[in-house]
Amino acid sequence: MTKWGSGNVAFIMADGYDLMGVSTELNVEKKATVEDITPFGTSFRNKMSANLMDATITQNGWYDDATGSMNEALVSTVGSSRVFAFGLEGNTAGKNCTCFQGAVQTDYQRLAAVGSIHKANCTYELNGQVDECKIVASHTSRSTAGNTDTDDVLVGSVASTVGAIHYIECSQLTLGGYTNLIIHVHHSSDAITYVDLTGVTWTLTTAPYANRIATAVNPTNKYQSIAWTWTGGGSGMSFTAMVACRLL
Amino acid sequence: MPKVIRYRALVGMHYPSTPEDVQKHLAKEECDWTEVVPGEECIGLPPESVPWLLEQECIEAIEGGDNK
Repeated sequence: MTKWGSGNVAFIMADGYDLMGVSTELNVEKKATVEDITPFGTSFRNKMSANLMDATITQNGWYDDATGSMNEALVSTVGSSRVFAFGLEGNTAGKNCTCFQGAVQTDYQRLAAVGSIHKANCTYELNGQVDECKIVASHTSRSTAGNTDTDDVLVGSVASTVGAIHYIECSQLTLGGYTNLIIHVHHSSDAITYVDLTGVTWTLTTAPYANRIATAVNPTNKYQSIAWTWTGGGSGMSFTAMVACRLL
Repeated sequence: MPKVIRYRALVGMHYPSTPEDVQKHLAKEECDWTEVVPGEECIGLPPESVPWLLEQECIEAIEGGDNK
């Protein structure tokens, strides 16, 4: 068992917006819908799950009007479904993180008070699946075409015969003259030879960007990595993104 | 004379270039990697990876090779 603290938060991202540096509190609640099934003649209540999950997210932080920061991320998206991701165990490949297929932003609160720094808070409600994932590639700035094959990241204890779900959250992209950035996921059975995982490729031209892909490749191997290439020509290119996976 | 089995990639692949590079990779040291696109011959493919690559139809034998 390892305890983790605020310094270990890996990322807080909504639709690719990096909210990490302007957030101070995150409260994520997953809950089951249960019904009371207590019959007559019972001294203690009985409850049964209806097999229906729900979740809410409360995110508090600073009001910041910088490009790509809190206000831009939240001001025009009340009522919209966001691809949301956060990690609590460090920004390291192989660590756990949680990703939301959809999280409807239900409000955006801007708080100002005498003697206080302005605050910006919001809440989200679940719209789709919550996926408990492993970080395949940490939220890190990368440049020249390459891959993370040498990291030998384990996303599960065994390969999946039914497929996987992958997320990407890209907070920054500088094409530097290139046409686009292509990111694809590699997988491997032995952590020596890596092959492209069919169907898990993203082509990016702008950021912030977020996406979820569900695939049914049999098998989807337990070692995974990302590889990236730049199309065309240019210089000074870079991107900052994280990729996560849940084996099904 | 033992039959030389050659393989063609059916998907994009990436592997340490030589047996020495495989050992370096396993020891978490920097090594050279070979990248192969679908349709290309896999030169220097680590033999330990061949069984699962065949089983998962990531490669196929060519020119005198077999699928055993």
